[in-house]
Amino acid sequence: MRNNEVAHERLLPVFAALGDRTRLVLIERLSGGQSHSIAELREGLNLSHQGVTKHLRVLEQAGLVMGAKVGRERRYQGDLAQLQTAQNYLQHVAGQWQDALTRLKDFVESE
Amino acid sequence: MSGREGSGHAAENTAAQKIERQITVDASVERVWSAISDHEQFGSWFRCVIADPFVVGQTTQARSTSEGNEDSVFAILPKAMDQPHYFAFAWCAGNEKGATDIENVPHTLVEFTIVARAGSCEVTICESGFENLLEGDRDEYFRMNTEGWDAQAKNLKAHFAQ
Repeated sequence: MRNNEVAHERLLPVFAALGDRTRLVLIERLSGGQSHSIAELREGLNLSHQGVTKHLRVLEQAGLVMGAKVGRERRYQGDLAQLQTAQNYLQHVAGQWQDALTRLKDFVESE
Repeated sequence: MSGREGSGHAAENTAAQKIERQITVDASVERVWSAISDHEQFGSWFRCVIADPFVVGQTTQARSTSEGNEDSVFAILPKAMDQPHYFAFAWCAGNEKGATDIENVPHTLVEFTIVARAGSCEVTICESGFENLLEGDRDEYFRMNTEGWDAQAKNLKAHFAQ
């Protein structure tokens, strides 16, 4: 029954991390395959260096981004595998709803 | 900055925390409405037994009747019933103990919208709020405990192990 706990552990912090507009913007900026500095990521966001760092830490803990020290600064890069896991989950739930809708259709049309 | 205002661009393109599915049904809006808003009819196509009629603001318990999931108990809290077009409920689809206090446990929002089309109608289901599913409650979740997901999880595990 619990043999999918690995997936759970990976997934739920991901949804929590994505449940924030700023972090979604950051993820989008980081999903291009290149690494970015905090200064670059801050552009257009009304946030302090510290504020962005805080959001990046949440994303990092959820495994959505990877940070690495390059010289004196820390640079960040998106980790798309985690995002894919979250999307797979939503896809799975969507499939369940599709099945349920089909049963609803059969139910109301069978009369 | 964590508000919902501003451009929806990022949310739409990045693993949006929302599922939307649609189906066209050859029946009247009223017929579909009763199939969705009557707890017994709902249970027969959704494959569960629901304890009480749906009443806005009143949590009811449901037990799954689908094969392999018979132990699954979940709670449903109707949030809006605008006959005959809109039915919304909060649920904690993964709570095996059947929480009575949905607002205080991880939950998502499910919305049904029924729109009349020529001779038929269009039913849309939208589920949102997946960001509410917090890590601390992961043991409560049965939702992924299906064969399909288990297989998928194994694939992913293999993928991550590379």
